[in-house]
Amino acid sequence: MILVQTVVNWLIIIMGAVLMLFSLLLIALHFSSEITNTRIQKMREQLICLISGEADARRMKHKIYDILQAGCETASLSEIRGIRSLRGLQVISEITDELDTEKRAVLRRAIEQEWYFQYLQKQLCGSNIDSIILVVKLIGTLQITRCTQDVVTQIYCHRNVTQMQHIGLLSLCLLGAERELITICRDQTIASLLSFRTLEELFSVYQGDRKKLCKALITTAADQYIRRTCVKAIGENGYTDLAELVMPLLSNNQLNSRIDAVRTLGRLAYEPARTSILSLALNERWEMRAVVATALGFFSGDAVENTLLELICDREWWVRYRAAESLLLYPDHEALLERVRRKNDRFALEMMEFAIRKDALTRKGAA
Amino acid sequence: MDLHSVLYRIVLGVNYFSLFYVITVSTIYLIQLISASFGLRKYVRSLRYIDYRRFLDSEHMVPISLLVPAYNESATIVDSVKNLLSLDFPEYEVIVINDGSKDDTLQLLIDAFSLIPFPQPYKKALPTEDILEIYRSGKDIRLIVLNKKNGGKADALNAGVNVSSYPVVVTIDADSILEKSSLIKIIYSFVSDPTCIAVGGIVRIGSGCEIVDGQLKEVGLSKKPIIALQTTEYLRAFLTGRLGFDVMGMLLIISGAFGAFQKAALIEVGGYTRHCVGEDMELVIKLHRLMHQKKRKYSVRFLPDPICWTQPPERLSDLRKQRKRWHIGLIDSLLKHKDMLFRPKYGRIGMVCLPYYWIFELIGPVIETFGYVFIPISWLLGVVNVWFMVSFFLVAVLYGTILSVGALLLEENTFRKYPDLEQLLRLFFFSFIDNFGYRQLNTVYKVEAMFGFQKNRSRWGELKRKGFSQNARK
Repeated sequence: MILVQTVVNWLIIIMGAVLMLFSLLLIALHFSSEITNTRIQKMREQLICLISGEADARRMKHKIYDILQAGCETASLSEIRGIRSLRGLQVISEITDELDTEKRAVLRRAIEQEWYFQYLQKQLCGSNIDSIILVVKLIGTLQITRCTQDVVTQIYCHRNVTQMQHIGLLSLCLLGAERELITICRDQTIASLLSFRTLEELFSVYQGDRKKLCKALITTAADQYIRRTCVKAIGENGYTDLAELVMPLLSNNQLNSRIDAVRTLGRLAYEPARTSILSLALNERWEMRAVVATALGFFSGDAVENTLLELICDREWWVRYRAAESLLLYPDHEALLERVRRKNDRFALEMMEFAIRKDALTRKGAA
Repeated sequence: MDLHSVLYRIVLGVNYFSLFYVITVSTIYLIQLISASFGLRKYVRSLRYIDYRRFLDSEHMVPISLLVPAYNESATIVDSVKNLLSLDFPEYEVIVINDGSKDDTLQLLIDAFSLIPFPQPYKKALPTEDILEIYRSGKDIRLIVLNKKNGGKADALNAGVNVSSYPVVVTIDADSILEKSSLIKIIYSFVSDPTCIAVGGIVRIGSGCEIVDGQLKEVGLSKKPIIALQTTEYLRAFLTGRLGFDVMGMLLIISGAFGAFQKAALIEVGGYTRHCVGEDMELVIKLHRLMHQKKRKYSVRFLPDPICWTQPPERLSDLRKQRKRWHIGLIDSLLKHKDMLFRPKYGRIGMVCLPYYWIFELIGPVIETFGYVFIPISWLLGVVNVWFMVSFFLVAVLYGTILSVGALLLEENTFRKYPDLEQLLRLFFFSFIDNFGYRQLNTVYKVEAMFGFQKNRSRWGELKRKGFSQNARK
């Protein structure tokens, strides 16, 4: 009993101490970040910055803005205390996103000066992954082209870190580094850790010739997601002359690749694909039939119209919905409704009526 | 050994067990606090370089359907919908499901948003009560209102899932509002992580905040002690409990007030369980079960940043109803999935998380109440000395306070939603006060819920609400 009591007593003392510590920390944290008054802040700047990261970041941010406002050719970051730190990197990264092209160029010049550049190089050789990712991001957003190879090296060094892969590829896209991107995307030893949507977003910010990139990667990228991203980009950007590269994917063994191919070829209204797309309207997978219904909206002709009228009677809700959307593109809605009515399918008729009403409401809203 | 001696030993043993239990449960909470602080640090760091704002104007963001079940929500529904229609997100629809309200919830919506009857064919992927009418807003085509027969919250949500058009659904309570960036922050998880099937955001107390026209103008703290106590309680529950479980990969609850789900997974598990008051927890357990059974790689996450401001009960009777309902929901879900307990097939969910919930969340309140009653009696009978009794209460109070202040510390170090010193001091004060009555009261409600479980297992109860503008700080 005495032993238990002793243990509990110690526990209470420790907990009391922890509570005191927490309370003091809380108050210190609050006061250090709360002081916003300019005069007081100036007076206590050094002290505040010693204990509060937030205040320190605010100070650095103001200094950088002052330097950028001056806009001189020889602007230097060396007068900002603590800028060569993780926090400094973070502040620069935040500021970069807020700047216009002109100011960004001033900041780039300041960063490329030997004093700061050496620090960046040192970080890239270090082991702090947060710093490395921030430097890699800076290289991309500030377009520091001479560091392109460093970005590639970091992607290879940290091939299993999703965030590094994301930021590394983002930087390469912002730098428009075609050769490097192609090499990495073709490399079988680098598995893509990124989602399809993330890749799509990366491709959309690519600063180089996107068409050339798509052409190079559509058949040779190691990862299926990247190949599919190329297929989608071809459709979205209207690269009709690359459509023939998409055609073979209509018979790919991966359903998602086939779906993307149909979507893209439809969007491009690529006539040589029409027959193949029409034949896929009978596919057993509803996902495929739904995409075919959308793709056929970009084509015209009796066969297309008849197929869409078949698809609006499909057993799957989504196929009917997509077919109705495509049929809406035909001018005479009344005649269309009549043809659907003749199908004697209540669900098809309901869907067509709904699509017409929704379209009218959208137009009214837009007006 | 005589009878007196045997009884003495038994009573003493029970006392030690109670003390041991309080220390164990508090230590577990402390571990959660520590892991939450690491998780929060990692999350805040990732925000440094992952810029979700890039997706704000991007067509590569996942389009989503917001589901708002509403039953007698006339006090808040218009403000709430206005708020939801003004969020920063590229493509979404808002589906309000009027679940047979007896008040003028539907009429208010019709008037405020110029609703027009708009029959819409939909796929009945989940069974629900009949939908009587479907409306669309003439002012904003993104707003759809379903008027259906009353069937409970889960049934209303299932109806919303059926009518929704997009691959991710976000559920929001009608008495809650979101910050403008909340949606993009929560949905970014689905974009960055292809295995993500569900994400929960943080729910904070909105009473005391200034909310004008459905927009949060200024964060404030209510003057009412019952609300301030819930504010610290929510902070502790989300910033330590949920985040701690998230870090350990064992998140079992995504609050019904603000959660996002991959629609395909939701339909695959059969949607929300109807006539179940703990439908949010039940759904997450079903998702874990399915993914483990199918051996799929998946993640269920909690994010501390996307914020949903909600209205808490303002009266003790309402608080009692709410807490009893929560505990009944917990019991119901745990009983429904008891076959998952200690089954290696379900990974850490079956081996660690569910046993934890059984021992500490379900049975815990009974043991705690037992300790509060039994130890003073033991002292009166002379079985334990006064210092033992004081130690028991000190340990319980100190641990509780450390957790609350720890949560406050995490909040102050990261999001700082309560910037005034006065607010901070009040929260600090209530973190202490919390342990003298409020916590015990909640424990009693839970015990009460256990005894009334069979009778109340599908009864929701109704809470009195005020409009957001009535709650605004003057």
